[in-house]
Amino acid sequence: MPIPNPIPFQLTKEPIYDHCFSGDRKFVAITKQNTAEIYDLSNNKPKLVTVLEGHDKTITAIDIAPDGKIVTCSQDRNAIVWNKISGTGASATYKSTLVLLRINRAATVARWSPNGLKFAVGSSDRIIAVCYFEPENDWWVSKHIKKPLKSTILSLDWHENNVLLSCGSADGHVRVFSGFIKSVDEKPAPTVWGDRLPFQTLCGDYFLNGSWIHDVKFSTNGEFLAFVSHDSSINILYPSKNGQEISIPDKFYQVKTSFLPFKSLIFINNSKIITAGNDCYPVVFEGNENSGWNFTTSIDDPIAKKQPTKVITNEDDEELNQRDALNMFRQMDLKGSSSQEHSGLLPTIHQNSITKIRPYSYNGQNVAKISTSGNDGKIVIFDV
Amino acid sequence: MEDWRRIDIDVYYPESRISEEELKPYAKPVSLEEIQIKAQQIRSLLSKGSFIDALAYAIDEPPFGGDAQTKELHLKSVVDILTAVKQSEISSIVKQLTIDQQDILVKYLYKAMGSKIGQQQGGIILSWFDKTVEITGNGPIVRYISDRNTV
Repeated sequence: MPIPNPIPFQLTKEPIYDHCFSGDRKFVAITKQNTAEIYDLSNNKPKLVTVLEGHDKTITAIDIAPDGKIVTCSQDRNAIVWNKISGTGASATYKSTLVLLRINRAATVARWSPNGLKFAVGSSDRIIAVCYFEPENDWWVSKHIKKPLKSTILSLDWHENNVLLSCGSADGHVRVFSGFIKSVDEKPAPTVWGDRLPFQTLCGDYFLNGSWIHDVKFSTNGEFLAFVSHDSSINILYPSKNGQEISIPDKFYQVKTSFLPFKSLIFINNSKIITAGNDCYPVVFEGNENSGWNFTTSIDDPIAKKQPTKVITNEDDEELNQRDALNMFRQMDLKGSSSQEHSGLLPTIHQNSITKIRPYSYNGQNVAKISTSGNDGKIVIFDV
Repeated sequence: MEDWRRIDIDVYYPESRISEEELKPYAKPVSLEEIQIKAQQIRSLLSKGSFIDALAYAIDEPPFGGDAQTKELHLKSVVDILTAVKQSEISSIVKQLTIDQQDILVKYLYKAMGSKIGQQQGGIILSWFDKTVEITGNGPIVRYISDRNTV
């Protein structure tokens, strides 16, 4: 069977809020209501291998550290670290460790630092909890970043130096903090964001027009930021060079688009960004500090395509076929026919909003393939 | 207990409470007099028949920082321009606007639909809206909803 390109996997009928591939790209972990599921995708046929159970409410984010540790966080106000204790593939068993987050409201996002020694959890309790392992107590503990947060944290991204942490929130602020933990981190080299970085130092605080900031990312070289907000714009921000003005960027580009709002973005390299969101397909922006940024092309462009793409479904998921049948009868009932063009399917692969984009593979410094997860329960791997 | 979703739990966290003012972007204060002068300028541009100049002038620096009365007066000036333009010229005028101007135009169209002044000219406003969105796509609508700078 030829491998289609892009590669779509229909894993569930529930929305996938977040997904993450294992380091070897054989397995993918997804959120599915109160559980997280790990699928083996190595034979191009999804196979459910592990279900991580432990949360009481919807899991909002999942992330895998370079050494394979998994962290999940949930609306039940908890985060859990899952350590693989034995076995591989289908026989792997995980030990769960509850993290002391000390928050009173839902956790919204969790991200490992690039070296995997600590992670940050954002919450609607106006707190970012930076969590690290205390070997004496065999326990994950957290330090809180509180000020000047006054709103739900919607996104987090670590700088490659493992210290700087950017966050976007529902009050329209993009901020850069220091997440320096004495017992874990070495003193970082000075960057454009500042040189003295004790924990909770505010290194940047930018405000645009008050619309929600859905996602924020450091550039590949870590020297500037891009973020997407609910006003259908993508914004690229170069911090002030002297490090003095934390709220006035040196250069700032807002690209207003005619798309629906974007929910996620990643840098392909320092001059190329991919975003996706409520329009169900990824779009590409290119530019640089001097010439500004512009929309260039769409991936999986619905206008160029006519036929809905065939997806690889989970073998034992009968409900999906039931849903197809339900759709067919519904169309026959509404329109008197069930022909393909009235099927109600979008021409894009994703049939609902894309929730997260992640890098899948690299070509040198550039991202070569990306993976996306959607509210339609699909994971798709796109060539860039 | 049945009404627990309506309990205002934010009152228990006074220090982290966010006010409406904090969510608003900074906008330069605008006085009623400035907008009255603008309204005169718009009228004289209209009488010369230069609709595109009048519209661009009116929506280039909208009174984000004005009070309700100021905003209402400026809305009236904008609606005057919109009603003066011939149906057949709407599309070509919208195409000449910058993306920022188009955003502001859509904001005014929504505001007009929600006010007495605009509702008296409902048909014209709707046809402006129809033709504008055909050119601009969904972006300005999303920005009208999410942007806290209001006209």
